[in-house]
Amino acid sequence: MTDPDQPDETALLDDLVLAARTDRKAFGRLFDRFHPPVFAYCLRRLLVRAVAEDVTSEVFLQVAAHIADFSGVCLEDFRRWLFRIATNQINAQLRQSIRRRELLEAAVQMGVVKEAASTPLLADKPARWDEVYQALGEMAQREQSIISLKFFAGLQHEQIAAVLEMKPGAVRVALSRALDKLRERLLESDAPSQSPTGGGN
Amino acid sequence: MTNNPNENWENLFASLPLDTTPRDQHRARLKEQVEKTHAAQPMAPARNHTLKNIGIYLMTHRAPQWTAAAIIVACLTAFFITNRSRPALALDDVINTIMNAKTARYDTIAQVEGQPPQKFTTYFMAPNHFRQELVGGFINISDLAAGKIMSLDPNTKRATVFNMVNMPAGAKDKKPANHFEMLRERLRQVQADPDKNAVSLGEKELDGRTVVGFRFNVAPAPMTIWADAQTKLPYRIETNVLVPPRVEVVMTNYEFNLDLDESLFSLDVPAGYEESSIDVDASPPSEKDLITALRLCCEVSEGEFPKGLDVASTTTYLAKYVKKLSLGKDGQLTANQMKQMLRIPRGFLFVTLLPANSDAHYAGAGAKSGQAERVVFWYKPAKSKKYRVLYADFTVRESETAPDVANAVKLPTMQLMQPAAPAKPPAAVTTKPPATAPAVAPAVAPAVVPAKPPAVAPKTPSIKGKQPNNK
Repeated sequence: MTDPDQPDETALLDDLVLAARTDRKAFGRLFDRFHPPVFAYCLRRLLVRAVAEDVTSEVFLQVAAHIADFSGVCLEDFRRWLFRIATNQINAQLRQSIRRRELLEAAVQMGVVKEAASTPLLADKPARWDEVYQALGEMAQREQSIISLKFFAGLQHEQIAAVLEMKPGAVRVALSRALDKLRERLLESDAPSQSPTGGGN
Repeated sequence: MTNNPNENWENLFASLPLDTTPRDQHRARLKEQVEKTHAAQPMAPARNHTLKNIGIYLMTHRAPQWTAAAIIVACLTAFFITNRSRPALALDDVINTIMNAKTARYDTIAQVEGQPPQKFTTYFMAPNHFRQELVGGFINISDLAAGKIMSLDPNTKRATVFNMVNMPAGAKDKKPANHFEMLRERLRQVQADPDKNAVSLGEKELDGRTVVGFRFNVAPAPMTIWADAQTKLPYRIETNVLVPPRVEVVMTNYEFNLDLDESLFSLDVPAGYEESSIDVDASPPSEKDLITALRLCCEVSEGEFPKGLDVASTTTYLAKYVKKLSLGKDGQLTANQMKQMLRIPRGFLFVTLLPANSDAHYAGAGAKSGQAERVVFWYKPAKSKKYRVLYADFTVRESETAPDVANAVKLPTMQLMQPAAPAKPPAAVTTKPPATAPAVAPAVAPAVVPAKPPAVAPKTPSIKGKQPNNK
């Protein structure tokens, strides 16, 4: 049975966030905790390991440089801040045509989406990863961010709302619409993508 | 295949043929870089967070004095309730100077976001006497063991005495619940596991002296102490109030074992003061009290539930409640009206006193009384596997799972504010002083804070004269 008088893990992590503002060791522990998910988020969105590593580095260097001014008080505040920085960095990368080209080239290399994964959404139509990423890249940046935070970072609606400064309900609606749009585009696409496209606004 | 479209998309993206494991080399190099970057930054002012200072919020909030006093009294009841099972503490040799202090004095500056700082001075005399002096001459004197607090307004020559009744059995006989007892508990916790609980913040110059900083992660009410490197006594303690609006509190100028006249702590009403006496129910509030409080809030808000159950909401609804009352010609509350009004903070206190693992949530913002299917609050009672779910028609139903309500806010509870039980038996305390900490006492924010005169109180009702029934 949990002892209500004992601090739970969340509370201790909240403390860690507070201590990390001034304590290098505490900051190091936060880094250890968040480096893997941030890197995974970057990699899933950018597909190129070297680019994902660069972006992850930039994210944590920014965090280290500004942690003293960070006004959050708990782990969730830190997560929100961290993933906001990461999302902004990713979006900045994807505004560069060379990055979009690299991403699509990597997506082409990944080949076809497993049938078991694509069938429930696209019926009999086989989907390729470059189609998925091309369709995603053609969506408005906010839609891309919502989908990325949901499926690449694994955040909950409330957390996405906090990152993007939206209401949770608005995130739910926007995500639903964005996924419908993505599905439609995938169903419409019938030719392999050879040229990278830019993201919308 | 699933009917949940999100799950289908999750499956699709989960099938990405990617190994997302970071390379150890990149991770190690980056960690080194970011730690260097971190170390190169100027040290941030400590921002600690404790929920102890609800009263300080009230004191500094632009609320009428009676409002602040009302909730402070309610908070005092919590003080008795939540400390009733605390064991007496053994003195630790390392901290004898602090732990044996018979008297103390310190200054506090509390700043509410967007408002000018407020200052007051606290006096302590063992075992349980407090006196707090505010700018403008306002004074609060309390004796928690006696269950009494007196608020003096020298401008109007009014004295308001709050008597706590229905205290839990034996509460008065327990070790007095006061600031210094809590300090001892905190330090004992730190010493029980210093590696886990104490973080060194290093040395710095403060007001011309060298101080050593420590953060005490006696979660979830951590604090930072800057101690004089030579005397080992606390010089400055910094805390924050998590409840919005943000309040930053700095306590400094500590003096110990100074000569203080006992008359400073007298609870006798000074000559020339008009006395009002109010009995405050100090028994543990129940779910029923919360429902009553929410009903009262709805009654004064055209059926709308409060936006939150925080201190700010409490203050707002107290003000609304008073506005609806038929005050006397002098615009003052009767003792009975005050007693009724106190049902609001008492009800809200029920939430505050819930165990930390009660998973209490509030979703009343935007709800209207009578909406039978609208969930406004839920929690899991101690030792219960089921949730108690309160609906906007004030009915309560039990549920195996927590409701899924979009705008629900997880509520902080007083149990989260209380010092946690020691990680090890007291016997272990004296064997291992903190590896990084000097022999200084940690501190908590004052548990009792004075009622504050309003910075701006357009029309401040006060309490009518002495009520025979209250004596």
